[in-house]
Amino acid sequence: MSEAPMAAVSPRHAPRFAQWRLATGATITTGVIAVALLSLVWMPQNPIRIRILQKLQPPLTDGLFGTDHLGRDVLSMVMAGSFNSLSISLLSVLLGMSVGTALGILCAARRGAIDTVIMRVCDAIFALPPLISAIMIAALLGGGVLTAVIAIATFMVPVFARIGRSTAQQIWARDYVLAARMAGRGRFAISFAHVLPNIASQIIVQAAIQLALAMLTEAGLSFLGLGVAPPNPSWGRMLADSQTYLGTAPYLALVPGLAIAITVLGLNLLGDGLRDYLDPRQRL
Amino acid sequence: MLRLDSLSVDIAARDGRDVRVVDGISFELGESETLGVVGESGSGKTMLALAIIGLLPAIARPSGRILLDEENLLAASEPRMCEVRGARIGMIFQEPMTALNPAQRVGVQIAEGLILHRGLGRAAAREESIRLLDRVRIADARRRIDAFPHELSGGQRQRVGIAIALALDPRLLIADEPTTALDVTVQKEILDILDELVTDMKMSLIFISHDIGVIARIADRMLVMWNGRSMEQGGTADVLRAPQSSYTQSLLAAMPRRSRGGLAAGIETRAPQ
Amino acid sequence: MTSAPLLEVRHVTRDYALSGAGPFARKTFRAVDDVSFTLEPGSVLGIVGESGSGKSTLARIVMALDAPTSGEVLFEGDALQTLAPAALRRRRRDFQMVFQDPYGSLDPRQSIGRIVAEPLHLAGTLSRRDRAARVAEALESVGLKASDSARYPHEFSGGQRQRIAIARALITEPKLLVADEAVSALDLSIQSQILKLLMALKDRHGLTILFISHNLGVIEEIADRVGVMHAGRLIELGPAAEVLHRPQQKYTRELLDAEPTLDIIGRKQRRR
Repeated sequence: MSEAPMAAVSPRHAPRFAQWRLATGATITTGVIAVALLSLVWMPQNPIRIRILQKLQPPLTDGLFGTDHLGRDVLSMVMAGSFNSLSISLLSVLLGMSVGTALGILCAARRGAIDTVIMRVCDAIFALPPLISAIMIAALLGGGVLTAVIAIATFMVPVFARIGRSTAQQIWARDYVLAARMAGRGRFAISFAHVLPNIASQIIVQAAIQLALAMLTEAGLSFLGLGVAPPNPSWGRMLADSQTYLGTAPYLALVPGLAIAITVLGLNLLGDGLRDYLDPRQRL
Repeated sequence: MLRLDSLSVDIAARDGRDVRVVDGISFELGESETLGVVGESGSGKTMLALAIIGLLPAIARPSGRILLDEENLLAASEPRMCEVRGARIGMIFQEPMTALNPAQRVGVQIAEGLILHRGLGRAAAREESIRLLDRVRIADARRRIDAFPHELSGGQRQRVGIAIALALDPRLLIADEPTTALDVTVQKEILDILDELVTDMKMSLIFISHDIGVIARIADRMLVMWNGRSMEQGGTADVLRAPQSSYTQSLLAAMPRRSRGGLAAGIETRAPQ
Repeated sequence: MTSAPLLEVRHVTRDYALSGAGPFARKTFRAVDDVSFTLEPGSVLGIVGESGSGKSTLARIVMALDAPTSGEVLFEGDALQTLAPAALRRRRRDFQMVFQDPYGSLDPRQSIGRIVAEPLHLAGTLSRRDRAARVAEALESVGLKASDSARYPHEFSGGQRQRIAIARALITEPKLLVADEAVSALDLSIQSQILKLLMALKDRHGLTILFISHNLGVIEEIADRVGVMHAGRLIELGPAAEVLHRPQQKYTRELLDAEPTLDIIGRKQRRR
């Protein structure tokens, strides 16, 4: 009966900060995606073309970011690498999200033994540090894009299962689900028609946040040689290769390192910004 | 003691236009008096309460004057308002859990204000807290003082909320729908407690509710609000027995017969023009 | 017109297991304790109770959304607890419920048309056109417009949402409507409108209503018979005039005294 609940003291700066965060995150992420897509149709040079005679040229003398120890154009490698890193990250998040959310929704709908078993398995996966488990899996299955995706997706599943389950449980407690049960609808129909649409925004926010983590993990995997197979460029491997030349050609480490850092920052800002934007309490 | 002079509150909406949620409210309230504010949802009654205690959200802009003992609260600085809040004006809410910290024992929460504002030592504050719990009729106060909020019933939590508001002996207590979430038998006790406090502690009370029956029970004077405006004000008995405004008449007509009691009704329910 | 009751509740008890209780504490909580009553077709039974009285639990058991620990609920002679799932589903067409919270009872992501049409799953397969026609009819019967079916819940006020909830509940033309605090969250003027609407619909469709509320004034407006629940038990049951004016039980008297009416104006300390 009282008016819509409002914060008695509203955070004066919060709305503007949240908008700034979301805008910046979105801009950076869009920028990276644009570069990645562009790399499919145009790059200044062929990134895998070796030109020994032009090796280790500093930036701006031969290409915007110079050349590496094999004479490959760093800018082109960064562009191609962006596509590889982004697509692996995106695929693994999509895979983890689909499987994880489905499991979470199943747990909330069935409860009982299924719920307990699935959650305990997720706890087990959670207990392992993500990077290490990804490395283990990738090492077991051999390197390459597919195993990298599976490895990363594996530790995404518990995250989405947990959040899918808790948000789904909240929806199951709502009166409109009770009304649907009175309308004789079964658990599957309710999960599909009522639960999924109402948890979608929270799942998407989580996906944006996990994307950042996936990128970082992918960089780690390729740094160790377990990700994208050579000669296809990837940021992680560029970092690994740059180690020998750290003293003489620091730009070889800086460029991919900054690329990873900026992209992950953008994804984090996007995820946080989205979460605040979609949180009903922040809307005044 | 309290005088409102044409108080208005404007809220800046997202599209830039202002929405006036409180529109030119004026009234006077003396010591040991209760004012009941009646209105439906959206009438602006909660905004009115927040304006008086200085807790309006950042997007709300008040205008007019709120004079507490001749001091204009709207012109006061934030540090001054911090002094006023608690010590001169207390507030209790519909949902007592908004005022209670679920992780702290209730005694600690009552004592907090005493220690911070009145400089009491821990032992003295604890004794005073027990006395306050007795005042709000919590049985076995000496033991209950160490309870956590979730260990208490809804009615007991609301009483703790009142105790916290009373701790600093405020001149004015604002109660925003304090009994709406409570059972009717518990509500009766809370109203009795508030009634006693107003008389014994020479406190003034502004009681906000949508329930006319409750207002009739607790208020000496009443203010009927609709859409931010004052539709009618006056002594409770006068307003209820001989309502001048058609809106008040329609509110009375909408009440169930039992709640209306012996008062005349029979006017069609319609929104005011 | 049969003389058999529409609904028969026989010695229904509902216990909940308490988790985390110590070895010597009680293991179960009895939410509903041996409740029995009947409901004649075309009548309105008001159930009054405070929080924790078990009235909402009782409502769910009557709606077969929850199973009693013991006892049975007979709807037109069928014991709902023992029906096979498919048969129960068919029966659901005949009883529906309206909830307290107009903001939680409608799925914010679905259009009004879809929300109101949901129970039609129980009515067998209907063509799109038939479904739309039934939805339009239902919306109009509660005072809304057929075109509202394309809009979304957030576009409507509390009172309008409750009308939508009523339209949804009545679309399969049920025989029994359970209203669980259906007007408690509404403004006074809207409350009386919704009550009048319910009475009109009852007369038009020959509905039987089980109306649950904590507000005695509202119950008196609408109920033929009144039952009082306290701590899970149905302590008093009888014609409205009897229970509300000549109560037998002490608790009922306390309840009646506690509810504020305009007969008493002013603070006790200063009463004129």
